[in-house]
Amino acid sequence: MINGMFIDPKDCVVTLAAAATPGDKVCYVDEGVRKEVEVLDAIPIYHKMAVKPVAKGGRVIKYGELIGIASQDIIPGQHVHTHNVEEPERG
Amino acid sequence: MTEFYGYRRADGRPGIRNYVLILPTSVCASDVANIIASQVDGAVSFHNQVGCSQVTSDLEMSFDFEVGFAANPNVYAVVLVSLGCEGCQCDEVADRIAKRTSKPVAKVIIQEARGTLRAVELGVRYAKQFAAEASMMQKEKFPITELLMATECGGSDPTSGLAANNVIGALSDRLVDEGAATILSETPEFIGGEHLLAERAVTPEVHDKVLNIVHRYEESVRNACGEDIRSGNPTPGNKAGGITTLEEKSLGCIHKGGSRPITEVYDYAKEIPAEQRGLVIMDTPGNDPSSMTGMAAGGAQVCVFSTGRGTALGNPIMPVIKITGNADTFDKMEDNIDFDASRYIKGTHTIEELRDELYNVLVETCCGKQTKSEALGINEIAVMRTCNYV
Repeated sequence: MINGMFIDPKDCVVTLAAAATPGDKVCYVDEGVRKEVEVLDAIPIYHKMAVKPVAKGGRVIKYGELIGIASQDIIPGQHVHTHNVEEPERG
Repeated sequence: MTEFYGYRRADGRPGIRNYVLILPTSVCASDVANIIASQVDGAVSFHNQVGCSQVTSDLEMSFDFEVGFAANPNVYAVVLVSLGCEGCQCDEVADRIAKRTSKPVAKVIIQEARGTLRAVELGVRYAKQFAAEASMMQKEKFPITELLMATECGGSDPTSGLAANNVIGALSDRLVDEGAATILSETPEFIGGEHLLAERAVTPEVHDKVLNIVHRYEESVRNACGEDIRSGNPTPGNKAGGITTLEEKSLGCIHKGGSRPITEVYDYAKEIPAEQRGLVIMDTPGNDPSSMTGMAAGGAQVCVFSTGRGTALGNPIMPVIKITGNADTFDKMEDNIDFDASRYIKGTHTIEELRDELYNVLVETCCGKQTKSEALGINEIAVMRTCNYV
């Protein structure tokens, strides 16, 4: 069951097609390859979960583009939202 | 090369519908226009909320939308209905229409016709003559390159950026690759992602225009009411739904513009010439009915519209194909929504499969298949303006 939506190969997050709780498995497809990550947080439907680590200050990528800056270290399986991502500086 | 059956016009792109448009030039003529349209099979009208008591720049936008609606390829002929004393004077509208198209135009001026009853009679006589002429036209085959497709999103939720807008963007790319033209709109929904659009501009001039319309829109809101258009964006509802930053929200919205180069930027309701190919931007509000009005006035024959929460909207002259990525919304509002893109979220279909399916729906719609909003007669419009009535 594919329950994680992975949009672009550069992305570090998937969007969940169903709510998840710690211990659940999120499956997604990355360029034809099925991948699986264990969920670490309670995550509502359509929210984001990390599938790649992002260090504090690193770029959070969705849609293949920058959507924010990690305000703390993020590891795969964690909920990615306003508590650990901030707006990027405008150029 | 894909072809569709449409109506050849004396100038410009082919039509995919063959309406007699009963066009009220101001609020004050709208009821009479709608009564005329109700009497004639093949005639269509709408309620016009502008056209008088406007500052000059707003009145110019009203002229542009009225003239653009008249010139839209889906319109065979036009019956202008005016009160007689409004800002959008009937003769002036007719003169401006004549500069863009040679299609038949008749004029009904309520004050000169000696009241609404006689104006209705006069308008019905013109309209039924035009409708009889229109009914004699035979459809012809046209290549897909003759299509100008508008895109829109509204009542958005997280599924819009996940599925529906992606499918529309992929459709836009396919059309551009096949030599057609598509429009990305809704300037306020570029904010935070405008740099990405600007990077796709074909020239430095277009690059600067993309950034300028966003800046100009923000300034117009600040000047009109002293408020920052960015404040409270993403909204608490967006955040609860899973959108973290303004960049993320805008990226979801602009996804419906696909990935192809941006070849030109047009002001609201301005003519997009028949020779235009590729992806263009039109500077429109995020408000769906007024955004679609601008694109229909620009000459778009068809619109593809994504919705998350569900919407009933259509347009009087431009068929609107509505799609949702939200399975629950499609289930609840299937009467209003033409295409279910939630199958991507469910994992049963790829974006490419849904793109090609939607492409087929688009071609069928061009050939005459009614959209859900057409079948239900949903004709509401709105028009962009920057200032209160005067």
